[in-house]
Amino acid sequence: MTITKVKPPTLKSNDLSWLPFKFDRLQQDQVTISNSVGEWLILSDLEFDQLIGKKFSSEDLVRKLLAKHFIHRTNETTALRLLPLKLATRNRQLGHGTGLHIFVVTLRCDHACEYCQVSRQNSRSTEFDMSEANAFSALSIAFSSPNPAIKIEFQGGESLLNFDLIRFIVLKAKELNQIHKKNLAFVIATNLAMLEDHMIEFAGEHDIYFSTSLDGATALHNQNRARPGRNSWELTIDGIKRIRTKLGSDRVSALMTTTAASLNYPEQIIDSYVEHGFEEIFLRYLSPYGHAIKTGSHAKYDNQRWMKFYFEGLNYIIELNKSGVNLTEAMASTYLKKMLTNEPTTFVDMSTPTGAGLGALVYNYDGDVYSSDEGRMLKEMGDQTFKLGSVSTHNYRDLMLTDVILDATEQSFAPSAPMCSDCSLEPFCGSDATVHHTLQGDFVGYKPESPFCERTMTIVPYLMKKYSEDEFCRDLFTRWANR
Amino acid sequence: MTIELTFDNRVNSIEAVQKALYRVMTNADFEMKIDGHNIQVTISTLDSSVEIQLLATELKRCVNDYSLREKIGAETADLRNLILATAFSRIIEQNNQDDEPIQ
Repeated sequence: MTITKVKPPTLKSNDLSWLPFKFDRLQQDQVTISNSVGEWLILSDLEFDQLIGKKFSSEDLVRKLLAKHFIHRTNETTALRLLPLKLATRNRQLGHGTGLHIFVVTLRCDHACEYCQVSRQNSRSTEFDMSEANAFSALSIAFSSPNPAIKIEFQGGESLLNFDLIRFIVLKAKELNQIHKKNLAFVIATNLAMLEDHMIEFAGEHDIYFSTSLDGATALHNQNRARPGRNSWELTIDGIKRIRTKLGSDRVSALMTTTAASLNYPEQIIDSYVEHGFEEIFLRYLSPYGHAIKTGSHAKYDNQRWMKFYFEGLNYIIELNKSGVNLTEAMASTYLKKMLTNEPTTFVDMSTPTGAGLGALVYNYDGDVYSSDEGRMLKEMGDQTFKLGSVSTHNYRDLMLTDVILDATEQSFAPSAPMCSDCSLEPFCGSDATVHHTLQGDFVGYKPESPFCERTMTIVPYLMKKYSEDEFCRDLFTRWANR
Repeated sequence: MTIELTFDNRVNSIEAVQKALYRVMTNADFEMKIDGHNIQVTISTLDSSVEIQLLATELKRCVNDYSLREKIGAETADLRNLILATAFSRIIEQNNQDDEPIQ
């Protein structure tokens, strides 16, 4: 048998055409290019000139551009069949309907946190508890969503102060799910101060997860999260340990909130997460809602100062990983998922069009329904823009067809928003209609002055550079993207 | 400080100039006028002459980039529409197969 070695076809520039792509000059002498399916490359000015002129002196460059679907051979259709498939995969959640259903079971809270976004009420004021009737109506709405996966999250106030209602909702939801057969999940957002053993047992019986707040080491946490006895940190850590002992380490996660007091201590905050066995930390920015506005804690530091904190923290986390510690930064992970996979994000703030309503619905203690948790917080500040209706008068279809959902969805679709439509980082960004409405007065926002935009424009190029230049980061970021 | 720039609308479209102004002019006032083929832009700031020159340079670079984006967009418009139409019809088709109707 004779084997004939086939020579690969020569790449002639005049056989090559552009596929749709966007570009930006984000770094000196470099051009970032991307396309709608999230492929990206950083080119030198010279390489970019070759792409624009379609006259290539390097076969390597041509092969990279072909592989990432920035150009195609004019007589081939492979790219035109692959690109719609990838785009459909990236956007498949659009038709799924609302997956996250947040039940505000009470506004009562035992804490008086400086940054609280929820306008807490005295812990004995039961008038701020959700009723069983409202809870049942809200469940009917949640199960009407066409999404095959429903996550029910309990929030407050301090949700455990109305644990009887949590129990009622969980049992009713499981009963309803005998008919609906959805993939059902439960999360209790709690400060853990009121955690009792029977609650842990109930959580164990019904696969309920806990999400708590941990702002860092003892002094910082207790300063941020005031309560009688000044022992929030001690109670939280105790609760985390009890849940882990009885249910396993994966059953409790933690979120930190960044305050002005946090900004000088990124390493100490991260160390406290490592010390207490967490494998993920979300170096969060402070949202401009509720008590955060009333107390001025949102204005105490600006976006640039927060980003200095963020990058100090991110670099420290990378160094910890190099030394063998397994710790993920959640915001970087969200961006990397968009940069390195075709998986849609589950993070409501980073969805496009806006995740408000499409990604999440919030059932307030009084039966009012909001398109997002932030929308509920705005109502507490007197702005009812994101109030969609009431569980007693609206069904799922009514809520999804309200003007605010339709307008916010249309206006927040990033690929058609001003500046975003031409931005090479748009495929990795999101569209937060609520935050832009709050800070800039409309759902779209003025992107050159948007802190949301500034974060993406700063963090994503940094991640791209690290991924491109640092072999360890390439492996680490690939893991973070695929979590 | 004030500086005037003129763009030829046979080279750079009004939309390209407008998009560049939207992106660059966060800390300056500007006025745009059309005179025949000329798009005249007057920029005013309280900053020094050096800073306004940098702003003008940045605006010219940005206008050229938006013109290039228009060229790429025009040349790939049919492919982009084909890709979007195929992708979103696939999503709708998939949802019709998978999901229960909204109640």
